Amino acid sequence: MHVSDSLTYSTPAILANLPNPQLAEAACPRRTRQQLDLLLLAIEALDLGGSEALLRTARELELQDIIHNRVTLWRIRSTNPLRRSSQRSPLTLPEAKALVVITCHLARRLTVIIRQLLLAHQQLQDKQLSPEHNFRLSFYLERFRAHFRARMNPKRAAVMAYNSNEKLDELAMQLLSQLLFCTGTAGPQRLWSSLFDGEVA
Amino acid sequence: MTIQRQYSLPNCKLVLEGWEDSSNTTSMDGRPLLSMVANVECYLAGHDKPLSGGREFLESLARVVNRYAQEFLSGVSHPLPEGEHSKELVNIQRLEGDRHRLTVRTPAGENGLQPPNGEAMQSVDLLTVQLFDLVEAIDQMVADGQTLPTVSLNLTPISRRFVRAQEPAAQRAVPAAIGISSLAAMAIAFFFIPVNDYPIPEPDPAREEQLENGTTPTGLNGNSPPIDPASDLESPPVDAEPPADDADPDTNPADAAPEEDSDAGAELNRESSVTVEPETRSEDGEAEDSALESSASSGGSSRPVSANGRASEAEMTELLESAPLIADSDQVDELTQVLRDRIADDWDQSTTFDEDLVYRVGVDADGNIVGFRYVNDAALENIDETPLLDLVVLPTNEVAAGEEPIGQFRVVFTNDGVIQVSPWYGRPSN
Repeated sequence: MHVSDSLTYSTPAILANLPNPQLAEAACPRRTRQQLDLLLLAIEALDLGGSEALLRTARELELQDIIHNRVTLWRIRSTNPLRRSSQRSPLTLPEAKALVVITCHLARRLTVIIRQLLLAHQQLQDKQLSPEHNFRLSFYLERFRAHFRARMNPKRAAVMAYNSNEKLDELAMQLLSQLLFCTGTAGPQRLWSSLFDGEVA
Repeated sequence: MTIQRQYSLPNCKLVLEGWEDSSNTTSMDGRPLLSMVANVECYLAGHDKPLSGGREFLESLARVVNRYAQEFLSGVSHPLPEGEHSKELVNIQRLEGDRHRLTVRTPAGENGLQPPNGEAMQSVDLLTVQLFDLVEAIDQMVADGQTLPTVSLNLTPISRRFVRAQEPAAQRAVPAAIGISSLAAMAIAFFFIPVNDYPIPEPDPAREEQLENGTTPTGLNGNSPPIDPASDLESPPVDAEPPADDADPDTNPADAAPEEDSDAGAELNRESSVTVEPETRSEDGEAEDSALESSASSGGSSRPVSANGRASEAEMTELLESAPLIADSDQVDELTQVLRDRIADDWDQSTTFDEDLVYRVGVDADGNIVGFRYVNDAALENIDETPLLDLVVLPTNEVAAGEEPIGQFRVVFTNDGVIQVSPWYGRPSN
């Protein structure tokens, strides 16, 4: 028993089916860091207790060795280059894997609301109505915009691209549909491999 | 014996009909192994007629849907090798308004249902939710060990060789253009900065000796300037500190640099103005030390220590008074917790003081402590008991101090070892 304990301590079993990509460096590329943080931002906008849920999930999935506490989580997420005080420190592969597993776990729990919002958005679009006509959808979009504006550095070119409500709503909906694909059977593997598209040798 | 397997999702039902290979035995749970497939039907919500075909159709469907799902998640398109397009029976195209067109080609003669004189095309438009259900049905089929165990999905990232060629040249040129323009802006800004006159110190025999020993490799380089502040970092024992005036913020080129912030620009700047960054770092490093010293020795109460270490009361007051306040109540709540956790992590709770220590702490949007002030005298006297000095973070040059919104908190270290953190102005009401 003791041996198996120490094994899981070094690499949590839940991360085992996410293979290491063939990267030029040992740390995660820019798009990976950005995408992971934005997906979590969308989850926070969906779920009122989102940021607490992130930590709770890390504990449930026994990822405390990688994500010790709120500060570690915050530091890992601050590797997103768009953040106001983006950290220069790298995002390691185990940290990125932990975020992938947490994201997919939470997305699965939010499956119903994610599907409802996507369908509602589609229906409003077909009728050429604005998202405000659906209370839950506009609530999500509003919260996403607030989170994004509060945390991202408006002087960065990549953030300036989202300078209007419409563009941020578009990003929020894109992230929502990406979260839908995270809810599936192969969600973690799909998300993981998509994070390195165009980054591997 | 014919076996039927069905994978049902709200918008998609995938039905496989086949039989087991005679050599294989039934698995433990009694489900026979479906190893040969004869017919596949894929029912999609809103379409009465299923998409159907044989094993070739199923494999093509799985491959194409899998690739498309990855493109959808990453935003990076996966081009097919030349000639592969015509081989696939299934194709998916992205349409306007979050729709996806699934096209299935049935080769002539297959199924016996199609007109014998050519191919039949069938196309279905799917919403994103429907597309996901199709992906999920296939994933469940692949994950099912008792159904076609030889079918697997290729879930690997696409190589960067395929991506570079896809970006239009104009798009690739943008970062470079931004970088060059920010370099030009920097050059103009530097032009107006008066050159700082460093008093060149007399050659110090001790330093000369060290240089010869090769302890400071930068000094050995004939091209380096006579005083390289960066070398002070590398060789702290050398007594060649520039006079205190040199820490004057007004003459520091890095501070006066325009806030050009595009990533490409920042990278280019890093490469092209190598001397700027070490200077800033070493200056900040020294300043931090001086902040530590001054705060330890200073006797006046409510003496502020600002993040950049220039211990001027006016500046810290200005930061706390003038910087815009973070008003989002969710964010204030989150910052309160982040701040408490950070301090608690670094505090050993061994208290030697009798009175509570009260500080007013400024925190940026991501929880970095950018500065603090003492509220009572005990707080000043016992500053070393708290981890605050260690936690103050040097500002990145991204946003000028005073422009970035900060949160202000009242942090109390009680003499029985408890940390209390509360928003300085109470909770915002929005």
